[in-house]
Amino acid sequence: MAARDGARQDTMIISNLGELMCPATRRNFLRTLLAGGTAILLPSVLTGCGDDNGVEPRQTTGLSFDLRTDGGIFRIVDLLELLEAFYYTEVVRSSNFSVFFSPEEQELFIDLRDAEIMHREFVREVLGAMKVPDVTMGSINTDRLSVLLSSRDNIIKTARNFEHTGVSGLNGASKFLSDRRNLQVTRNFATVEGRHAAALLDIPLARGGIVGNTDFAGDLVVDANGLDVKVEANDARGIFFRVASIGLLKAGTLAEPPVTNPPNPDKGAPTPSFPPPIF
Amino acid sequence: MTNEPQTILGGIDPEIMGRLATRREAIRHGMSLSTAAAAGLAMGSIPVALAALSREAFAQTPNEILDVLRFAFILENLENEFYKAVLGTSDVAAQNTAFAPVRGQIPASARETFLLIQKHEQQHVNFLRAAIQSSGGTAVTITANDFDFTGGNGGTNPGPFVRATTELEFLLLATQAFEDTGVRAYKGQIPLLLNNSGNAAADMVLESACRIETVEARHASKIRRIRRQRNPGIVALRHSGYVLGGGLTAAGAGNISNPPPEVIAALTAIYSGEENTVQVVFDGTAERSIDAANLPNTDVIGNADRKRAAAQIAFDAPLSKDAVINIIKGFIKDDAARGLP
Repeated sequence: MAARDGARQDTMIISNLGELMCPATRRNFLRTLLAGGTAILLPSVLTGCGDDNGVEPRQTTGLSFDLRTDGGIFRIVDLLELLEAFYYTEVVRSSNFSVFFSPEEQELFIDLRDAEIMHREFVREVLGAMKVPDVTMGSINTDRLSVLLSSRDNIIKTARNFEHTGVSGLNGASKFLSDRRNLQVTRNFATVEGRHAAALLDIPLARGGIVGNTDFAGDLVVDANGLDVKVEANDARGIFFRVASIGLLKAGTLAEPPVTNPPNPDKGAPTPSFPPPIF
Repeated sequence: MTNEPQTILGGIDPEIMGRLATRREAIRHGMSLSTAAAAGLAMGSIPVALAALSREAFAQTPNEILDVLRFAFILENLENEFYKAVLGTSDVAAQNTAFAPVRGQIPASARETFLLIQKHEQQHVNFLRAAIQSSGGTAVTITANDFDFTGGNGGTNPGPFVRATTELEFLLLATQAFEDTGVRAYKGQIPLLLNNSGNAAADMVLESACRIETVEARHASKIRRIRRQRNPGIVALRHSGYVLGGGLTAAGAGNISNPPPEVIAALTAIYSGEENTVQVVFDGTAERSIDAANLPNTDVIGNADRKRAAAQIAFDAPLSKDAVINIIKGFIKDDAARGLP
């Protein structure tokens, strides 16, 4: 870090944008500006983040979500899609992929990877400057990732957990969106996640094993009114609970609590949830 | 069925009401909810919330919401009565008889799947009827007699889908077509339910429609998987349950010999527009159209063709009400007085 430390920080030199992701630098940066000082951005500032020197990319910390706008709600989708696309990419390229899965199941996971990459890039394109930091750079708990890739059973369960987080979260968030076009887009990918969720419940945990003919939409995931799973972001068993259960993020990546502002009451109020199980 | 608006509470199973009261007591006393109990609360509370959907409660456009509910009600009845006829559980003997030849060909595994799907469709019918009545509307009485599952509009001659009553592969294709149409129909209607009025009951209608929609997507996914397992060479049917591409190819109908032109036309219409890769959003200031086939950071997917295919499977597409009615009207005997197309 190139910030000059001192009692009065009137000049601060920043050589790398990644430094601004570090809370201490950011604090100093803001203090410097507020004190009427000067911040110097070296030309190298636009050349990339702190992983240039082979150093581990810096961890994101304290990531939080303000749900008062459609963009704020899309940021949660962004976080989920980042994690899903990252995880499925790792699954497909892992050395055991063809050992754990039949050719038919490999097709399923490749489709899954491709769709989630599309969702990720689409949501990040929509959000532009509002997108969340790429938590797959520097904020992945690699020990946990190894576990989640270590067996067929773990991969299928993790995928089921991700897809059911997507379905239940998008179903619960629908009422808080303010624009019909944005609602339309979320529904366009919500049913794709629903198709995934059903397909993943329709393959057996043990290779070559059997699976129930009704598991794809059984009573664990469809209630007595014929309605699919649904959670609120902040439910005890809601989106962030599920993200924490999967455990791919390093401790401290998300703020506690992650939601700084709930949706405005004039958009709607939380409804009773029907959370999916943790598979 | 009565024509008088009736409160939904009148039709609720007393056991659910009892359980709801117990849950209320539990919450009041600060007890923590088990998952099962929370699910019970969710079940009971939806009708209760809907009961607040009285005509007086609406400040904005109740007719728009009611129209959506009535339309969905017709669709769900169509699906429900179709599965009952296939399974031989229709109240109308002639419908059961019509499907007897194919019924004997349905594997036990697929029959279990059909039974679950039919259960869901019946639940959707019941739920929508309650929602319409709670909204101050009238849910018309619809029976199996209102439908012609051959697509012949109730005429003397059977319609183009008559082979679904005698050929298993044709039946499975028709089932997939119904489910995918259902997904697309909800997708076209759900945005109309969006309201930012703070009306909790209206929100519940929107959210419930979304939750029905993903259940229909599960059904469609499962039927596609069943068809692919029976026809491994039809790669348009994905093991992931996705719709790949659009138009006739997305139906994956290559295993059907000499399909009637009307069936080809229907399948083309059902999947028309699924190939779309351009998505429209509103960023708070302006509308933006984004082509998912041209997004960055997607090279791991493969070449441009694979990226385009991925951009197609990643987004299901809506159908307008008119488009859906054009697809399904051959299966419904016209009755304008009851709003049947």
